Amino acid sequence: MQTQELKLNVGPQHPSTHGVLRLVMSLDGEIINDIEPVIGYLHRGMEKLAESRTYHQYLPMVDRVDYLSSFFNQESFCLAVESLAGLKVPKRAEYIRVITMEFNRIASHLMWLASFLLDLGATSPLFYAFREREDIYTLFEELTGARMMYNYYCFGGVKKDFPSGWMKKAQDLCKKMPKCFDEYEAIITNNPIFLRRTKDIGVLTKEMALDFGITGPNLRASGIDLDLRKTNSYSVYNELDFKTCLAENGDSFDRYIVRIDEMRESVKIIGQALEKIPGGTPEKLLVKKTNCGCKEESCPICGFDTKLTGKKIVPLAFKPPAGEAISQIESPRGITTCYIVSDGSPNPYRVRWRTPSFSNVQLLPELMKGKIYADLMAIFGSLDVVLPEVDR
Amino acid sequence: MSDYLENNIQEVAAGQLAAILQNNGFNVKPQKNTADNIEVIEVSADKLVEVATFLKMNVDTHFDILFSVSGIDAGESLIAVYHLFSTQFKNNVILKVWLDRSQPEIASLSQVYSASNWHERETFDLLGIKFINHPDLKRILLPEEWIGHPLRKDYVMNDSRLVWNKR
Repeated sequence: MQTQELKLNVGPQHPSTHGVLRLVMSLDGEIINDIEPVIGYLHRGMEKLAESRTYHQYLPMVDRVDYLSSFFNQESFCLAVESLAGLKVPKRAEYIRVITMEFNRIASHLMWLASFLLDLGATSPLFYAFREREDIYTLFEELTGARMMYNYYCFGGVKKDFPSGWMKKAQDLCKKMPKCFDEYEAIITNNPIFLRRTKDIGVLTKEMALDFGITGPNLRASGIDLDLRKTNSYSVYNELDFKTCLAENGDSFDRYIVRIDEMRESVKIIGQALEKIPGGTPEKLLVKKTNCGCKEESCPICGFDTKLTGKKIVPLAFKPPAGEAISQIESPRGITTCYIVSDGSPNPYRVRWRTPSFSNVQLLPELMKGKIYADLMAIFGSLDVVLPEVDR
Repeated sequence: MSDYLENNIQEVAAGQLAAILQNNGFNVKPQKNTADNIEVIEVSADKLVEVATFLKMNVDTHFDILFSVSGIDAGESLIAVYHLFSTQFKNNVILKVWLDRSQPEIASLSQVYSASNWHERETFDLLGIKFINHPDLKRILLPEEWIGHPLRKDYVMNDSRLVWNKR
């Protein structure tokens, strides 16, 4: 019988491509011979837009680089600008940043969990995951006024303090969360259909992961211990106790396990940060500040540590000195770096975003060679790709 | 344009990695560190692949991840910027290569790091730096028929396709 290779186009509008991604495939029956990902449908020119805006005008746009983890993009940009301009961040602001970031990590992983299982054909985990994601987004809405694009950080700190009662709600949510994770695991982890779809599927070896510059949970699922929060600690992560989540085989199932473990660790981090935050709740801090009233910089109650921002900055006159800075943070999908070159003018000379999803999409042809078509979404879904982050 | 981006500002003492490279016979020039103390090393265009291979293979450096390839338009020249990371020593290094603006060509790193494939395509797309020996050098983010390279400072914004900008 005569056979021939079939060219098949998937996307750009396809429910399980998580956005706008086009895949041009050559199929031999059900076997995928080659894949060519075509990206760029969501290219907004983030790097070019920075050149015509001041640092403060660019800050709200940074949220849109990756809409599922806005706080991380803000942190990445703020860290780079802070080291460029030599701004110091008060401890209380750092703790607020860590709390919001870790909540954001959980929300992002929940979104991944929901869509990954939807790709595999399981509908109900979506409703479970979105239930908790809704709780987190309600907290964010109360704190920042927005549900996805927060614009909450500023250079040298955060824009406002927690509203009254927010910390209690956050603590309650932290107590509730681990039970919810147990619930997901009860539905998913030992499910025989899930196991057969993910065990030994899409194995990513250590060498391949390093060669392709894969970072984050995908790298840790292959057994490489690289978590910037631990190894190249930024913010106040070195004061908090948590462990790096690792797996061994690097298949789709391991990537799932690592993310579930990471959510549990994030809950632990938030719980510790809520207890350790300098000044405690905003109501108590106000009372303590009024009673102390010394207004000295080194005072643990009304000094620098309990402020929200360090130095006051006038946006129009903000000109970081000429130089360059690069920030690296561990975002839910891997290592996000923001590289800023300044020439001493109010606008950045060059901003470069290195986003983890870009490398993850690049890996796809390598992972898919010789696999069957039905595994495409079990593998691609497990890589946790967010397309706006790929195209920027 | 500040003189910051120009090639020879002042002599900088060699950092740890630059010293290792110089001891092994590479003619590299240390540059000023970034604001967060990451070493910046200037490499000449014809030695880049050798330097990157050395940094990857040497047991004292072992830079096994290529984070990003990008570029800067520095007026008279273009700068290709390579950002490497070592999972063993958890440290970073930035390699910079100054290229002639009229003929920006540099050897591709795709034989050393597979990750450089798409990053180099992106740099070609947005800055017009040509990577020699690249397996598939074409535009990645912009459409194939796009004219010009947007991240160059002399890029003309009044393209007919952007006419809706002038409402």
